[in-house]
This record gives sequence, structure tokens and C-alpha cells, in this order.
Amino acid sequence: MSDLKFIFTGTPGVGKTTAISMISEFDPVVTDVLTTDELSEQKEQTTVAMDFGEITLDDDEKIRLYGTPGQRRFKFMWEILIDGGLGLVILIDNSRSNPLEDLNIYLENFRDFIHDAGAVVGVTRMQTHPDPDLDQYYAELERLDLDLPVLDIDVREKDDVIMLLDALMAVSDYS
Amino acid sequence: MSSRLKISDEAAQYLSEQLNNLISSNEGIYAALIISIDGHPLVKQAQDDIHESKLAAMMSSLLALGESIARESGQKLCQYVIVDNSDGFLVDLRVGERMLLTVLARKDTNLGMLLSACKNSAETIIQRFKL
Ligand SMILES: Nc1nc2c(ncn2[C@@H]2O[C@H](COP(=O)(O)OP(=O)(O)O)[C@@H](O)[C@H]2O)c(=O)[nH]1
Repeated sequence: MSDLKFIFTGTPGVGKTTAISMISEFDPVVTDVLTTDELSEQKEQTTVAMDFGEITLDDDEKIRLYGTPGQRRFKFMWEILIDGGLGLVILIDNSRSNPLEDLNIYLENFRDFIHDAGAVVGVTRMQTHPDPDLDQYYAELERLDLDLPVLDIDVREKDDVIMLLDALMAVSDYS
Repeated sequence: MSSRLKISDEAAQYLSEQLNNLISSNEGIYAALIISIDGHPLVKQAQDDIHESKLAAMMSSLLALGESIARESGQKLCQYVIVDNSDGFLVDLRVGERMLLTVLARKDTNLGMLLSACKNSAETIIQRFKL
């Protein structure tokens, strides 16, 4: 049996834990603890180790889904979690002050992995925060000489999360 | 130390004293840290140089995983996460809702004594702050 592993990353609160729990076939493993820093104004809890869930494809293949902690101090966990991964979902929260800068940070953090594996960008909260729009995301990626799909998604919608995975499977080595 | 969990100077001093007591209560212990549950170092006492900000993030991930694994395996509450290495031990345990205690000890330490010293310290702190 082949082993498919996808990783979700993005800023704290963007919806990594929610996305994984929407599609996982079992209650996902979560490692959320109380926030004690400035993030606590937005969010009571934050992931400090990983989220983990699983989904089975039509052909009985299982995809393992891992969510990373968002904060840079947990970089060591990113390195552990991407090992053996086939693709990366980068979630960007369009309600933050500079989403394109967030995008650049995650592209840079995972540069080698994105180059070797593949990635897709999911932009959240576009309904309430339409700016920047998808064209601006594509322009930014083009400027960086990257060809990645960008999707407008709501992590609370199972179909949206599935759509992200489909896009990721299309660009990653999996075929 | 850089952290944002607001603890008063008085509380920080009390925690430092507790860590000192812990270190002097057991010959094998050479460093002890209080860390916020989301991975920021709060108070450190160490005989050696240690890189507390990295260690703090790592120990908070480790404790969170230990607690998840304890629940998943049906063994309920995680009491300690122990990392047993060729050159020493690390012990990780929770101190109330928002903090954890990490202790570094030399390899010749008696593990049972070490754990009991860690637990006593954590309980003293919990009682003092009514955590
Ligand atoms: N109102 C609103 N809430 C959202 C939207 N997308 C995500 N959320 C919420 O934002 C929170 C994201 O938290 P979480 O999944 O823990 O984020 P993580 O830190 O990335 O794992 C959840 O409570 C979601 O329900 C959205 O488009 N609109």
C-alpha cells in the first residue's frame, strides 16, 4: 500500500485544525493548549505539536493528514512533520493585515519541500475580506516564479477541503 | 527572558526560588525551567548554558503529545514525559493550566527520586498560586 501524506500549514487561527477535522474519518489527534501570548486575544487555544487525521480515497488508498503548529518557534515540528510528505496545503487568512506577506513567509519556510513535493494555496475568509483577490495571489506567485493552484475556501465546508486535496493531488507527484 | 504570559516580578522571583530549591534538593539536577503551556520560557535556573527558547517550544510540544497519547491509549492523565538519553534525563510535567516544568538531570540520578522531586515542586507551585 502506498503511503500518502499531506501537511497543512498556515498562521495560527487560519483553520488547519478545523480543515483536518472536517474530513478526517476519525476524531483527529489534536494537541491544542491554552494560548498565553498576544494570540490569546484572537484565540483561546493553539496547536503546539500537531494535528493528525486520515481520509480514505475511492480506491481504498489512505491519506494521512498532518497539521503543523503555525508559530515559528515550532519550526522543528515542521521539519519532523514534512518528512515523507507528498504535498503541502498552505492556508492563508485573508482577514489578516498582510496576507501576501504571510504567503511569502510560508513559501520561504517550506521552500525546499514545495520544490520537491508540491503545494496548493487555500485562501480563507474571502467572503468577508475579498482583498487581495485571487488574481493578486496569482500575480504574487508569478513574481516568485511559482506555479501553484490558489483556491478560495471555507475550512468549515467539507467539500472545500476535499477540493484542496484534489488540487494538491493534481500537482504533487501522486498520479 | 522573552515571554508574554504576564507574571509579576514577585511571582517570577518565587518561581526562581522554587527552581533553586529543586536543584539543591537533588544533586543530579542541573537545570530547571518554567515554561508557558504554549512554549515560551518564563523562568530558568541552570548550572550550564542551555538554549531555553528552543527547548521551551520543544518541551511544550512533547508534553502536549504525551497528554494526547495518554488519552488515546486509555491511560487518562499524563503525569510526566520522561526522555531518557545516553547522557541524562529530561522530565516534563504540567504545572496547572498554563505552565509546565522541565527538569534536566545527569545520568547517574535516581529516576524515582528525580520524579518525586519534580512532582513536589510542581505541587508547591500549584498550591502557592492556587492553580
Ligand atoms: N467566521 C468564520 N470563521 C472561520 C472561517 N474560517 C475558519 N473559521 C474559524 O476559525 C477558527 C480556526 O481555528 P483552527 O482550526 O483551530 O485554526 P488553526 O490554528 O489554524 O488550527 C475555527 O473556529 C473556524 O470555525 C470563516 O471563513 N469565517
